[in-house]
Amino acid sequence: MIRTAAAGAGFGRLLLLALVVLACDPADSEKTSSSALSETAVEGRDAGRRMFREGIGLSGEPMTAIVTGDVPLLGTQFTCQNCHGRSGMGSAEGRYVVPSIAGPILFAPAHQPKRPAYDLASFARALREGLDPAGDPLDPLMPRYRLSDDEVAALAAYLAGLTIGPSPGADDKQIRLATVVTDGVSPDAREAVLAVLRQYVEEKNRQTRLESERWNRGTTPASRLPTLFREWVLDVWTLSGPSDRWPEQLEAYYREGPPFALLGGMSDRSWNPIGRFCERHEIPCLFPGTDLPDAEADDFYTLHFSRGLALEADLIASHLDTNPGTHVVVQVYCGEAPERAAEALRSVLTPRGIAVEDLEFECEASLPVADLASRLAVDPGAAAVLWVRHERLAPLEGLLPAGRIYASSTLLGRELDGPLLSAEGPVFVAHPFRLPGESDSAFKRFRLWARTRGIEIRYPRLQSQAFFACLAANDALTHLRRYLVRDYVLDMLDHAQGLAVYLPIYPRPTLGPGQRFLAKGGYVLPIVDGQLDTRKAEWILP
Amino acid sequence: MHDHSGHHADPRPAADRHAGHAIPDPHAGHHASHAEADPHAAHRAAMASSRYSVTTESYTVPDVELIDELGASVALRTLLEGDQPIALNFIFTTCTTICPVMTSTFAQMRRDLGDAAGQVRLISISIDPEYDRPAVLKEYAGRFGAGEGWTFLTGESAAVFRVLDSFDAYAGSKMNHQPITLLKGPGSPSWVRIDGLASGRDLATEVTARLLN
Repeated sequence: MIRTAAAGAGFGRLLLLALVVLACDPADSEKTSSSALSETAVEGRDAGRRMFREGIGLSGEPMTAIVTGDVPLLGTQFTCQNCHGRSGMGSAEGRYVVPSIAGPILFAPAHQPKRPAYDLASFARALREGLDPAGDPLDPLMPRYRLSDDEVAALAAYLAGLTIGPSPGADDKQIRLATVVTDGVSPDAREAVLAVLRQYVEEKNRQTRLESERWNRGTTPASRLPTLFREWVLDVWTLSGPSDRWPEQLEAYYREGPPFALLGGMSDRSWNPIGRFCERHEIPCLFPGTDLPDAEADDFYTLHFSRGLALEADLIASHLDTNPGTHVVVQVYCGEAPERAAEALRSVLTPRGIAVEDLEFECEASLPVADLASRLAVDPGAAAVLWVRHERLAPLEGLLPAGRIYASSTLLGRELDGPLLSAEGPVFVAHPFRLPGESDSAFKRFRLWARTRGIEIRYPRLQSQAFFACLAANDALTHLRRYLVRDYVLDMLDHAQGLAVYLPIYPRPTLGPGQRFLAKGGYVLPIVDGQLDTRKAEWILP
Repeated sequence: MHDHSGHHADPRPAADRHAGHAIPDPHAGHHASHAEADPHAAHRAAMASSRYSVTTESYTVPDVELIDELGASVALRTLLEGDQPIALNFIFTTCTTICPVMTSTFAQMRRDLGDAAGQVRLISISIDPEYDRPAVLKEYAGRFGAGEGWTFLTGESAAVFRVLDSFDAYAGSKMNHQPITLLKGPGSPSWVRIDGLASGRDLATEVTARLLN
């Protein structure tokens, strides 16, 4: 190895770095006062991260490899992260099991399969030739990479920095969770949802409390083994005031007690500031109750039920596409959520050449029916989109000359079984939920759970969503075993397709790496003579 | 239905099997510090392709409409019963392990087939139709340089699961996905089923022997 190190000054420096990184705790190495080494460490690790996550080598070109014997691969087709997970903790698909390569595991001896610890030389050999330190071949699924010495060292430095936990918010006794509730949520809804979360956490702790005490009680070595069980602690973080003040409130809560993950949550406003916070601190944010996820393209840390009102907007746009003839759309709305829905629809329709007119009104005032009617009268094919709540619909009965009217199931509170609006033209509801009357065994399970615990269901969707968030968190945390790593939570949930059957309210959920919305489509249902008609319900994936 | 009359893959140790093959050396002309130490024999052993098995099966293709990566509607039966040899697999774009490998293997098989590649129609059907919409498939196909003669299909969940079922490829969940490649000659009533991760050359050999001769 010394001979190899002498081969090039760059590799020598990176090799030294990799060895230093291998030898000490990554958290300590960041604090090293020798700034030259720290900078190199950061450089090496950043380059290694790019290789690991994006498959881009030090030259800026995609890494190249051969897999299953003779199949060439490019880093852009297939990255380390693809198989080993963002956490590096590995994954399994069918009968293929991908091992963990986080530094503390990779650079230590392993027993299953048995191999000595990797060092830089054997790591290079594994990457290039597919042999482990014992000389045994790796699975043909592991690509054999063409890498320079510097690239091997950079990747080693990155892997050495990957943790096997515990991440902030977890230790050998507790896992701290927090649920975010913003002040626009009614106290009644807040309490109804918190009752579900608190009950779940309390029961979880009751069932495992003896386990978490066990490890220092026994006298035999076996009984003193550290337990896998942790007490869950649930903090409630209330955010108040305008949403541009939320980040500082979140930071203050975080300083007080960083959570391992955010569990559920509730807001009537855009979830974006909370999503940014989770990305910034790399906190898993599991299934918040929001209709405005407002996620960004590369977000990793938040899992949502669906795209909410933006999905409804897309459903309406798809419906307009497949039933052409509309050139003018007039949208009516008041309040933040409806306004964001209207924005979403406008941004889809405008590039398609449909003129969109917005009619915003004060939420305290009544719906400007006359104004709406006169705008619609301009074009006989005009469509009205009513981003309004249930109680606003009744006064519209028979007043709108629109060629077509669309309403939002979310804003109508999914209350579609009673008589709905009748109009001259056809009326539709965008409905990204299970069909009314469709069997929902996950919801039935929740209802029984709540009933036996004396929890009244006043907000079926919000409360059953919170219950699902608990089930998902519990499932993922159990599967982490003793490796309490935040990124690993997300990697686990990416593969927890079996959880989908426990999802209430939303149809056809799927999970997967890079998928951050459980449910992806919905229906546009016609209202015939004031009644919802589900007979010809067509599933739309915008 | 499963007559399992086909042969099984060569059971000899992988190193023997590949002894005569020209395996591309991924290190050719690279990292000089390693070149002299490269233990080629061990290397070739480590490059072994995994085992796969081949059987002959008879399947009834369901009469369903799917959608291709360009958003066009495709009658699956018509597509599969055309006058071209077919190589078909099941993938999903957010799959973490075997799918990118299977997709690259299809691409490599096509390269190995050389001039004959144009005769074979490649079809990859997504088993995650809710996420793998045409635009997603198109991007994925581009990433693997799929191009002409290689169709990516998605569709209504119910239709896709009927297809999986009819090819005995439904594993309960996409996370329990098994690597399967199906081959069929034009007008042939039966399918050649390859279970396991075959290499590109293995697939090219099977295609040449079973579809092109």
